[in-house]
Amino acid sequence: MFLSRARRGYVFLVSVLAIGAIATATTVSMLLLGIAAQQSGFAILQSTQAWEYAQTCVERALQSLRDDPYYVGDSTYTFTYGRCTLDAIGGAGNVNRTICAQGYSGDSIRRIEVKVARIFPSTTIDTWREVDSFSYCR
Amino acid sequence: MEVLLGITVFSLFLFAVGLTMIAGQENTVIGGAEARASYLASRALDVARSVRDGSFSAVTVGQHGYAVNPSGAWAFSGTTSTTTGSYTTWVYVSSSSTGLLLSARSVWKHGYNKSGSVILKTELTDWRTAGQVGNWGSPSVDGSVTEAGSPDFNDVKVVGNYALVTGGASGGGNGLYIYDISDTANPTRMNAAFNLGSDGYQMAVRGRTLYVLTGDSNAELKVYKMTNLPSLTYVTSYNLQGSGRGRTANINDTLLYVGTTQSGMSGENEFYVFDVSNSGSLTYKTSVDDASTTLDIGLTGTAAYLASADDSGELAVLNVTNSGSIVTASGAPLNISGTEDGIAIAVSGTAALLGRTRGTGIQELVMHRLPASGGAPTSGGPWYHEMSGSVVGVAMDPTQCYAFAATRQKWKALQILRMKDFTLTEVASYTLSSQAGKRLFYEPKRDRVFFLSDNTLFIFKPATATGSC
Repeated sequence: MFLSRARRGYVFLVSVLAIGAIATATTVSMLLLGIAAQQSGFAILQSTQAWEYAQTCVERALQSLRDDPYYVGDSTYTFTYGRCTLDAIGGAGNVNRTICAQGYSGDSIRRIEVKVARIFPSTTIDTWREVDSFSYCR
Repeated sequence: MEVLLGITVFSLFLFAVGLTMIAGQENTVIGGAEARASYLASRALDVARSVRDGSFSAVTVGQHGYAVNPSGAWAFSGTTSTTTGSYTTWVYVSSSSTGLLLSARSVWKHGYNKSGSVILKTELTDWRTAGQVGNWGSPSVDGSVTEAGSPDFNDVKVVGNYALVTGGASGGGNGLYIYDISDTANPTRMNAAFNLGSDGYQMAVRGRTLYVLTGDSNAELKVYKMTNLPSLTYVTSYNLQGSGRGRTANINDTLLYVGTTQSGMSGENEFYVFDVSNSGSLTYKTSVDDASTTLDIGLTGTAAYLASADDSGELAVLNVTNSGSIVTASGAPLNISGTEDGIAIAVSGTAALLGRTRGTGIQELVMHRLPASGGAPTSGGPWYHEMSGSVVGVAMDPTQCYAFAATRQKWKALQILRMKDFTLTEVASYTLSSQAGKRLFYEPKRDRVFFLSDNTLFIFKPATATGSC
């Protein structure tokens, strides 16, 4: 009888410990997963913003080339949630110009390179693509 | 008692675990919601871009929702858009100094306190709106300005609202003149106190840096900052080999190309390449002895097209590599009939116009088709036009409809030719009352031709702003 009660207590204790361990592990996992999910969501937001800032730089470069054919780029623009940079515009004159833009927001960097077939009378684009590293700009 | 204590402690433990799990779960939900909202806000900006692609003026200032219109295209619709999952998204458009500032916001509220929002910002500019090449069949003088004395104009470039004109100094001129052309009908001399100190020849511009070739025997290539036009700030200079030989300059990417008059002296080359990636300095890269005078340089891609005095190669073609080495392109130089010099060239895309000195047995204007990759002219052409005078300046509009040529004479000093159909037929001309034509410059943004005589800057405009070629 004494041994039986002791064994039941032991079983209960082990069960509590096991359940507690599993619950703790599950909780920690869910907490970490939650934190990771939130970080992912934030990273996606920053990455999207970086992309939009890279687009902004390309937009500015295209407009600047229309305003001033001697525009050289090589500029940095700072915004509320980040910045964008333009490498030196490639080529000369009205045709075959290249634009390389990088957008930054938090830890995210997105790169866009554009090959402009011609600027006037209407700007036509050969290529407008996101890249890991630039191939049009040296 | 122990059992009660155990149950209590365990319950507290389970309660803590439960709360923590709920917090973790909420974090997961928030992360997912933020990702989805980012996508929706990004889509709102894409919609604005799509609307802009149709018409810049359709992107009106204010708050917009969006939807797919009956024709299947994205369009602004209402002031907000609600997406499955209780996401409300809109884009707010405001004007900025550079164009339009777009701010897309997506907000959500799931349950009692699971709310949030994301904001994405971008900008749109009006680069898609097409410019126009007018009807140059009957041009007229929009404005002009004449300098007293002997300015002996040489070259003209337009930078923003200013026209820069080089000229002689030996006859009492200033060497470089700056005109405000914000009103093209009334070009006005600015910074009249500026004096180059020597004859000014051709110019090249990169950004807000001016490279001008001068007759200064110890500093033929001078560099000025133009950040505060009409003021010019001297930066540096370079002493080319020989004395006062620099005549022409052009820039592609970060390389400045310079051509000079011919020299028979050993160690005096005629074609130079400089690295100008740093606007505050000139870095010599290389030069070649091509044994003839180069009076004009046209550039496209990695090819340089030289208007040359070489009797057996009036159109030289050089390929310049990134490292700066120079090689003659395959099939070049081109020996054009007669021995008259090549003295002016314009290159854009796959077209090249070469002007030559007057000759009785030749036609002074030659048009070539160029391979898209650059290099020597290949199939088709060349096409010729009799100009009755030395062609000292050439240009073309960006549609390659019209060629503009300045001749070194009073009669038909400016001639406009149709080049689109390769006929090079004359469609209009302008005869000076005195003096003779010098160089010219076509500015696509204003659709104007800036044309020089010896002492006058003329600004020509087309008959109508919209042409059909």
